[in-house]
Formats: sequence, C-alpha cells, structure tokens
Amino acid sequence: MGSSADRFGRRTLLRGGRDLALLSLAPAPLVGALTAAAPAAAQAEDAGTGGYFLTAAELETLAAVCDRFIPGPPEDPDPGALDAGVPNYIDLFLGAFLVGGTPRIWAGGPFSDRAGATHDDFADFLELDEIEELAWRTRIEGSLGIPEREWGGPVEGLQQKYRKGLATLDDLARARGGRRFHQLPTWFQDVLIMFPQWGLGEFLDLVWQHSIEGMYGAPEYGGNRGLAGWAYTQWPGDSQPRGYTAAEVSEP
Amino acid sequence: MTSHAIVIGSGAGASVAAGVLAEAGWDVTILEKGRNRFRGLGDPAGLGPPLFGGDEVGADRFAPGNPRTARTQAQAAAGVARSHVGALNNLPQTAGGGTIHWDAKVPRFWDIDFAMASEYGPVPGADVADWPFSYGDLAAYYDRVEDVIGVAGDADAEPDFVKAHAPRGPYQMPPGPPMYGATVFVRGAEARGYQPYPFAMAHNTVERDGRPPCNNCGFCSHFGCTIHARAGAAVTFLHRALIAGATLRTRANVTRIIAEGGRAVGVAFRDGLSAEETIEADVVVLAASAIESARIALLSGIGDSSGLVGRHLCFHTETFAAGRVAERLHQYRGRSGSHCMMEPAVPDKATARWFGLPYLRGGVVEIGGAPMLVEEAGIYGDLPFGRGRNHKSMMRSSPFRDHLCSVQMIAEDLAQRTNAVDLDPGVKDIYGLPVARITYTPHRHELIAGWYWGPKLAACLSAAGASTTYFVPPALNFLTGGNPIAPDTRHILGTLRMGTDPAASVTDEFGRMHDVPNVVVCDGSTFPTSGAFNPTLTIMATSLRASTALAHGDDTARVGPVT
Ligand SMILES: Cc1cc2nc3c(=O)[nH]c(=O)nc-3n(C[C@H](O)[C@H](O)[C@H](O)COP(=O)(O)OP(=O)(O)OC[C@H]3O[C@@H](n4cnc5c(N)ncnc54)[C@H](O)[C@@H]3O)c2cc1C
Ligand code: SF4
Repeated sequence: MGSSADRFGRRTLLRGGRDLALLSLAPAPLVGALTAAAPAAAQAEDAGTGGYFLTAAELETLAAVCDRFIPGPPEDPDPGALDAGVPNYIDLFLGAFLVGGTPRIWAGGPFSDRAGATHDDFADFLELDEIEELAWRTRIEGSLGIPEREWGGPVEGLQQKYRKGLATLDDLARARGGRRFHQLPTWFQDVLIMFPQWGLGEFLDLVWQHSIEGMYGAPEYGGNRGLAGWAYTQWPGDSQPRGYTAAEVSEP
Repeated sequence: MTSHAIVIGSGAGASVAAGVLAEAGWDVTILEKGRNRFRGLGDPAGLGPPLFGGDEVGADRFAPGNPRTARTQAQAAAGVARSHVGALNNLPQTAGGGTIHWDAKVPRFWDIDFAMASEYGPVPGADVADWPFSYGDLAAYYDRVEDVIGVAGDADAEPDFVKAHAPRGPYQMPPGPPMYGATVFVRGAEARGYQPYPFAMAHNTVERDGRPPCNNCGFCSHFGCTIHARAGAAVTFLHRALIAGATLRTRANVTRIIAEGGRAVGVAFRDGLSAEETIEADVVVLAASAIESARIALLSGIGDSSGLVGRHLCFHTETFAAGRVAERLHQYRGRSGSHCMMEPAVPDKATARWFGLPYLRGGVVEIGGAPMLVEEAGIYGDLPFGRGRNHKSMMRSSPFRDHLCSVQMIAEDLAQRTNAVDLDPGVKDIYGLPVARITYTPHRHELIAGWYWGPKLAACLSAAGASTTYFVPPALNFLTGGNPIAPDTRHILGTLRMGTDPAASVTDEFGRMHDVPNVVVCDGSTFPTSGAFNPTLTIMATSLRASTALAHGDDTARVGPVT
C-alpha cells in the first residue's frame, strides 16, 4: 500500500467528475500537462496533502478507520475503501462548500455515461437554492452561532463531529497504544473501533454510513473509484438509458 | 367571475384537484414547498429529461430543516415530550410529491374497506369507522384516474375473491415482464394454495400518453423514473393542470390558511426565505400529505371543533418474510416488484376470536424487489461485527440482497384516536414553525396479524426451495428501519377524517372541512381507515371525486367524473 500522502495527492485529479471523464479519454502525457497547468490542482498541492476540509493528519486517521471498515488487499482479495477513494468522498462532502463550484450534494440527471449515454449528467451537480444551501450549510458546517441557522437551536456540524471524533480517536490510540491511530497494528485498531465501550459509537456510525456511501455510491461523488465497490459485488449500477430486456428481467 | 383556488401541495391528491379545477376553467395557483426537478413540466411540447437519476446517494439525501418528532402512546402518557427527532416516514417534498419516489403499485381498495365498522363491527381499543361513501360511489373515479395515469395489469388473472371485492374492467396495458425473483416466491405460494398474480402498476408497458414503455431499469422505488415511463402525479395530472393554465409556485412553503368567520379567505406562505406573503382565494385545496396537512390545519387554527384534527393517524404495518436461494436473483433488473398476493387482506374472524378481536386482517403482499447496494451495505454494518472483513465477505456473497428472496406484507393499521399529529412544543423547522409531532403505537391487532401471516409467508418461501427462511414481524422493523416509533411504509393516512357527523369527523365526504367548507382536503388525510392496500390510487380517486364536486356540484359528483 502506498502512503496516505500518495493517495490523497491523487484526489486533485478527481476534482470534477466530468473533467476526469474527459481526461481519461486523453493520452497520458496530455493528462500530465493539463493537470500540471491547472491552477486549482497546483494550489491544492501547495497546501500540502490536506483535503478540502480535513487536515493531512486527520486524513491519515480517517483513512485508517475506513481501511479497517472496508479493507482491501492483501487482507481481502477485492479493492477496499482506500482503493475506492472513500476518505476523499468524505472530505469532499465535509468540504462541499469549500471545493468551489456547485457543492456535490445532489448529482444531476437523468443519466451517467455508464449505460449508453454520451454525457455524464450525474457530474452536473444540482445548484442549491437558498433554503437548501442554508439547510446543508447548517448540517455540514454547524450553526456556528449564526441566528438563521439556529432555528432548531445550536447545531454541531458534521465538520465539528469529524474534527472532534478523529481527535478523540487519536487520543484513545495514544492512551491505549502509545501512538496515533493510523500507526497502530490493525488488530489494535479493530479493538478500538469495533467495540462499543470506548464511547465513540455515534461518531463511528457516522463514518461507517459515509464510508459505505463512498464505497458503493455513484463515483461522481468522489468515491467508488474505478467502480471498485460495484465490480466485486456484481452490481451494475445505474442502467439508464439502456435498461434491461424482458428476458434479462424474467430469466434466471 | 372566475373562481380562484389555491392548491397546497403538488403531490398525488393535489395534482388531481389542480387538474380538474384548471380544466374546468378555474384560476388555479399551486403552492409547492419543494423544488421542481422536471424540465418541460407544463410545456405542451412535452417533458424533457428530469434532474434526477439512478443515484442512491442523492436519493437518500432529504434536505435537512424539516424534522419530525415522535413518541409512543406510553411515552405520551408518561409526559415524555418526544423520543425521536429527525426523519419519520418521509415523503419526497418536491413537485409531484410522494409519487416522484413511489413504485406505482396501484391496487384498488375493496368494497369492505369502505365499511369495516358496519360489516365487521367495532374493534376494542380502536376507532374504526365507515367511509361516507362506498366502493360503488368511487368506482367511476377509479376508472378515470386509471385512464389518465395508465395502469398495466391483468384483470383476468385476479382471483375470484379479488374480482368480487373490487370489480373492474380491463386495464389499459398488459403487465410488464415478471421479475425472476418474484416468480420464485410465486411458485412457492402457488404450491401452498395461494393465488398470486401480476400487480397492477402505473408504469407504461407500451408507449402511451407520449411517454415510453418501462425499460426495467431497476432504480424504481425510491427513485424518480428518468424516462417518464412510470406515471406519477407530476407527469400526468400536474402536467395537464399547468397546460390548462394553472400556475405552479415552487419553494412556496405554506405557513397557514387564513380564515374569517368560517370561511377561508387566503393563504400565507413564504417564497424561499423571503418574508411571508399572502394570496387571496375563493377556495383552498389542502393536500400537503396527511402529516403536513394536519400540521397546516393546526398552525392555522381551523377545522378543530370536533377536537379531531391530527387524530386517527394511520400508517400501514410491514411484515417481512425472506429466505436464501442458491442462485443470484438479479432484482436490480425490473421494477421494484411485479406480483402481489391478496389472501391476507381477507378479514379472518375465526382466528381473531382467540384474541378478543372481531377480525384479523393483514394486507397486500408485495412480491419481488431487493435492497439497493448502499442499503445492503448498511444492513450488514448493523449486524454485530458486520464491519471490516466480514462486511466484504457478505457483500461478495450477498445473502441479504442477490440471494435473498423476500416479500413484504403491507397490512391494515387500525385507526386509533390516540395516534395523532400535533405541534411539537419545542422543535422548530427551518422557517421557525413548530414541527409535526407524531404520537403512535400500533394496535395489538396489527402485531398479531403480522405474527400470524409472517410464518405463512416464510412457508411459501420454503415451498419455493429457499433455505433459512424467516420473517420479521411489525414493530421489530420499526427499530431496524431507522426510526424507532413508526413503520416506514411511506403510507400516511388519517388525521383529517371524513364523515357525515361533524362531531365525529373533520371533513365531509367531499373533503370539505365541516367548520370551513371552502377548505377542501384532497389527500390521504381524509381516509377514515387505512385499508389493506397501497393507498395512492384511492387518494387520487377520492381527490377526483372531491374536486369534481367542487368544480361542478355534488350531484354530478355522485354520478362520476365530468371531464
Ligand atoms: C419510496 C416510495 C414508494 C412508494 N410506493 C407506493 C406505491 O407503490 N403505491 C402507492 O399507492 N403508494 C406508494 N407510495 C406512497 C405515495 O407516494 C403516497 O401515498 C402519496 O404520494 C401521498 O399523496 P398525498 O397527496 O397525500 O401527498 P404527497 O404526494 O406527499 O404530496 C404532498 C405535497 O405537499 C407538499 N407540501 C408539504 N407541506 C407543504 C407546505 N407547508 N406548503 C406547500 N407544500 C407543502 C409536499 O412537498 C408534497 O409535494 C410510495 C412512497 C414512497 C416514498
Ligand atoms: S423500472 Fe421502469 S418504471 Fe421503474 S424507474 Fe425504471 S424505467 Fe421507470
């Protein structure tokens, strides 16, 4: 396995599912030239290996959790969360309003380009209207004392939940194992995240939910890279506009 | 002078009313809380491609800001304000309402559904009531709605007891292809002496009404149909209403109906986050779905002289039965089911006697369909040690999706006065208004019916050759369904009960509020009982009857639709 720095360096290539789709059609040297020239990509490299919201260190911890939740080779024969870019999916969601462009909350429609359409509509994410933006900013960023976000009282955002949860996990790892979470042996990591008694259950349930979305959801959201989550599960994913024939429906 | 109607909501019930009134020449304004995800809605040139797709992540992302709260009856009695805050049996809030995500299973209610109290007697601890009209009164409206939306089915294949309880003519289209997974169960059910048959579904199997036939894409229930093959309120009645001149205002959140001296004079709403505005109206059609319509009535302080606004809330209860089969069932192909079985909807008096009940009644069994992939992953993850390498193994072997043959029984939920919607005293929505609080506990009738039918359905699976068959009775699946209080059927009924006696009901047989007769309720909230079947066709037929009465007068409404 490469270092987590390598893995997250790659995310700049994934910025904008549609761009990626276009790039994947271009010859390799051209891809190199294009990405090197792209200012956004250069900027992110300069910022180090951090994500849109999570810091480099937080991403290390998160990646280790995702890797334990959905392990890949050699532990399991098929690609796991890191191969599929699950931490990238989570960071993109937490940083939905930091990425620039339309937040990746709702993929567009009707069709991706995986089942017969030429354009990937999913990658044309829906613009949020003012109500949706207020609602999603509140959920993701928290209410932060802003009066119009406190219709239901103060809200702890997903960003704070992750920041706090990942720090608590590292603290626990240091207290029990003398090292940060991602530096512990995998069996030790499992003891810390698979057992409920450390009081991290709610946070880990959140990471779990996001991990399976990133692993098994549409790749436009930034996970399921190379359709890693669909291939080994024999899941064809969205099927329009091709659909299935009557025989495919009715026969064994 | 042209009458002006404001229609609150644009879902199943609302769209029918808007269509009837607009086509009858009324000036109609539709106020819809959600967004419009269609291109070309209301364009006579036809619908364009919609802004949704076969995307599981997005489909589950309901916009935050509209939580509901809930508690059980026992918690309410003990003074607990709420034990749940969040989603509860949510229907999509968007142009087209719940029918954007429905899978368009459209059975008719049976004759007895309209007369359970008089035909089977009262049930202790429940408040079962007759409907103010009969199957015969509604039949012409069923015909008309079916003709507009287009239903695929096989009337000849329906067993005699179904034909007797819900007599009908032929369907508009032949049924779609049977799903392989459904035929596995059908085989077992037939071996056990039941008579499953193709489910009547409002999806095209031939090109009709300018919409193509279904191509079996598999992203059916919980997803908008990306090719408009499946009918819903939006692509049929709402589209027609707009073509006939109705105005649709989206992101218009109705805050209250303004009434003076027993008459509604207008509606207050907020367009996005801007300040409240009001529009005057001669008539207000209330159809925001049962929970939200009751909430609007309570926020408006109207209709409650009987003290029954919000009461008699019904869902349906669900009983799952499933078994493992050796082969992969590929239920991601096709609609979300292709067959149904109706025997459990026949009231059983003999068994009921053991429990001091006049009858025991399950409901429609939906056959075919399986979880989607993220959903499957979530199921394993909730098992003890279901995360990590075990999770990968299970995803590969897919015991709970591709190798699972499962059915669900959607059963009658008896109306209880104490199952109710009120305004939560503490929790507010994004507009700063109190949210709907649900107090709910199923009647023992529902629980017993689930325990009675669950093993019989599992036995059908065994007869089909499935191994490790099991069933999950109602109540247990509230817990596993993510919200702890109510079933997750997405069938929401009751709350503004219709009836002839103003002391015992909120609305009359045409949906008019007894206290405020120019507020006409046209959604599932008027249902006196929940019936034993998917309710939406009956919501639409009831709305058609009410809005026809509104547009043309009661007498013609009794005979049938005018347009
Ligand atoms: C996944 C799924 C599958 C289903 N499958 C089936 C099926 O196969 N068969 C079946 O019969 N039923 C099915 N249903 C249920 C069906 O969708 C509902 O029964 C039906 O839509 C209810 O109709 P309604 O008119 O009561 O409300 P809705 O269709 O929900 O319409 C209410 C509308 O009012 C709007 N609204 C709410 N509050 C306000 C407000 N304050 N101001 C303005 N507008 C407001 C909402 O946004 C919504 O558009 C399914 C539902 C789901 C979610
Ligand atoms: S299965 Fe058919 S009706 Fe259902 S969404 Fe796909 S195309 Fe539409």
